[in-house]
Amino acid sequence: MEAQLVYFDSCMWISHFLQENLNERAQTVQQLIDQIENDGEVILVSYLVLLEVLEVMRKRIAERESYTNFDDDKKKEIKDKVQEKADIFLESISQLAKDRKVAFVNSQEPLDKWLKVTYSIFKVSFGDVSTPNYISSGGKKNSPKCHYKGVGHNDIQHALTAKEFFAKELHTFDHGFAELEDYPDFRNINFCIHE
Amino acid sequence: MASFPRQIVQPGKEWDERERRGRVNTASVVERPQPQKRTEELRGASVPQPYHNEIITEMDQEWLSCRNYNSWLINRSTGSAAPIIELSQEIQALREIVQELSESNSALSERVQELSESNSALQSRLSALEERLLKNTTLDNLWEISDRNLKVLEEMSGLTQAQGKSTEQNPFDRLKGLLKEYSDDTVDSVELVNSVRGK
Repeated sequence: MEAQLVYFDSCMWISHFLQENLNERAQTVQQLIDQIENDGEVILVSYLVLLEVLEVMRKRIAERESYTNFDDDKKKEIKDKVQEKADIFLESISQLAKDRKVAFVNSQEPLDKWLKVTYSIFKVSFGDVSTPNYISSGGKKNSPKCHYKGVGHNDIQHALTAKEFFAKELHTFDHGFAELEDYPDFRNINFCIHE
Repeated sequence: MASFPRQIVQPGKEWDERERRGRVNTASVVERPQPQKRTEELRGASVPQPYHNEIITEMDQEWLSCRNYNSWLINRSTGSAAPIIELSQEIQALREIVQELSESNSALSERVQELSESNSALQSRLSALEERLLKNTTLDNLWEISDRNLKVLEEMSGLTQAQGKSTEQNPFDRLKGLLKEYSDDTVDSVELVNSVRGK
């Protein structure tokens, strides 16, 4: 019997790394991993996920460092720390891929076709425009600005990769993916949007 | 089935033609008065010669006054009481044809509908088979794609040297809490990812 494939959005990995408390997300990810391992399923890791995770790691590590006594040594220290964490991530993914628990994939479509399809989906989708809470800063009142929230081209490309490799599920905490659920191209993917 | 098309001949003209032939025959064959007799039979009564042309003209006008006299390929070329019977027969025949065509059309419509449904089912089946073929091909190539990507990644990241350092620890467990020291109660993985997605 062929292995079932599931796609993890980048936030699932980040939540696992951070052991995120919000809505007990870390536990949700752990349960999923356990279930996937038990069922012999395979997690798809795309280049896009890899890049996003590495980028979040860089930003998060740098932003969490104290900026007192900031100098070149501190900069190097941050860079080394980022590299150390990135290496662990890459080594682990590499090992998981060799153990056939993770498949490291990228779209096999030509780039122009890939972008064209991304655009065609982006063009017909439109999220929501809202007015966030009234914000005042520094004693000056700012007039409220409208805020757009919707699916972005990265989200579409994650879904396209999942589709191309016939993933049965795409797991995410990002509710923006809900917009793609009704799109005919993704009718065979179950978007599992966790809280 | 009615046999058509047949040439429509205006009755008045046939009368003229018959009269012409009758006169010729009368003139050339003295002993054979049949054409004249036949003409009289066709008319149903003997008509005195002075009124002959008048009757023909009247019949011609009557024919011409018929609405759409030339719209159907119906043989009206008779010169006696027979046209009504023949016309009725032809109308009946045409009605039967129309009825047959209507039934045939209805049957064909049903057949078209059946074929259309059959075509849709075949298209669905074809799409499903194509998708299955594509899926099988993709899954057959999955590990080849993954291994190829991995090889490139290892070469670019210098991970090949790190193989010797591979631990017995489950890689999923190794990744668990990898960034825990950079976490807090307010951290939101979606926001962090959105920040690199430019949202």
